[in-house]
Amino acid sequence: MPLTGKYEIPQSVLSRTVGDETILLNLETSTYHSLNGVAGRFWSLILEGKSLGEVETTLLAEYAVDSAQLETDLKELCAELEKLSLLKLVV
Amino acid sequence: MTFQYQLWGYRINSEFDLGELDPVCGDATSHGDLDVRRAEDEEWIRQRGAVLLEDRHENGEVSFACWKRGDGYVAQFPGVCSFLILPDEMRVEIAPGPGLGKAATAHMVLDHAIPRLLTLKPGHIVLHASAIAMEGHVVAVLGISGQGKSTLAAWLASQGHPVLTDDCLVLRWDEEEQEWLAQPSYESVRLWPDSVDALGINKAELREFAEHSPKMRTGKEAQLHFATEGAPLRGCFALVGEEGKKSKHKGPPAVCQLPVKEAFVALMGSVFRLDAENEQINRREFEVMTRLTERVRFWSLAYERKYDWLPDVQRAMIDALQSGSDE
Repeated sequence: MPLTGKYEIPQSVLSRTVGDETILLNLETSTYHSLNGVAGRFWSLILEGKSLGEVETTLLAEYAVDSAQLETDLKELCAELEKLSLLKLVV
Repeated sequence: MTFQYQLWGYRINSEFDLGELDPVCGDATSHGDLDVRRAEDEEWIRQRGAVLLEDRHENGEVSFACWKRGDGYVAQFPGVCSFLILPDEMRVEIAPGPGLGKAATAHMVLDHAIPRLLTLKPGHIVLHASAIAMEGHVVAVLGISGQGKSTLAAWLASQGHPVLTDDCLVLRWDEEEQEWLAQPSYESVRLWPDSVDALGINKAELREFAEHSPKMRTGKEAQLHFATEGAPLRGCFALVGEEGKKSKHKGPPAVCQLPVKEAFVALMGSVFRLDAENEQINRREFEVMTRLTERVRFWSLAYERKYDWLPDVQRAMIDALQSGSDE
């Protein structure tokens, strides 16, 4: 079953992609994080305003990855980013 | 009496003799004036506020603390001096501690107060780093105090590579060229006695660094080369080692390209900073650091702290600059 929901990036989070890595700064905690590979691409799609379902569809088209595995990975990634206050579930 | 100097593109008007700089007169200034004066109300400056940042010596004593005061910040070095830093007014006010001598005053103003003021100015960022011109590039060496930035800079200067600074690198954004320009500082380096001996510098070629410090200054008197022009920063070597500890590295020096995040972390750890909680400053720093990681190549540099290895360190740095590949 495809993923549902939509995330947004809080205003207190800055990001920039340099080479293959996306660097994130959480202004509220003054902490830095980095994402690379599929996680970096996930971030760029969220930045574009895509829903989680749209993100999943795009990543399945772009990467040779098993659908069930991708869903599990995306859920874990969203939970981790939410825990770090880097993502906020809006819908 | 007011002394006038030229440094980092600014005309410094100082009530204090900043001996490391050559006095200038006239209107030679590209970015404006920066005033250094004695504080009118020293007690007001010394009065402790809500601390934003604090550093400590190994024995736990506070070595540096800063807090907001009026439109600026106070940077306090307990037992040494306190500064009121006013970036909007381009002014530094000093409340000297007891017995602060001429050499120490110059050191505190040039190496602590003015860098912290400039790093608050848009278009500037100031790093704890030495910088050297090598192979047609300016490269920075990032590292904490005691990791050997000055010794390495002095060695490279003695080998004909002009030094821009041994400890405090001011970078200025060049809007026209869309590049970060490394700015030359004053023409001296600070060395511990063992470095002086290892580099074969005569006592006659040394000057006082700061009263009560065993460190000494030297420069052109020891035939060290210094850069007089700014140039784009092209590479950064981050010295490997833990705070307060020497590198555990043994054998020939090792240079490895750094991934973006590690380059970013090395840069963030090297910034002169007064206020880590100010959102506007954090946004600006993030922008600057990401721009730098896009344009500058980064390596880690691990070397055994034995002076015999310095020629090999020099070779390893040049090889990295020429190849850009992992070494």
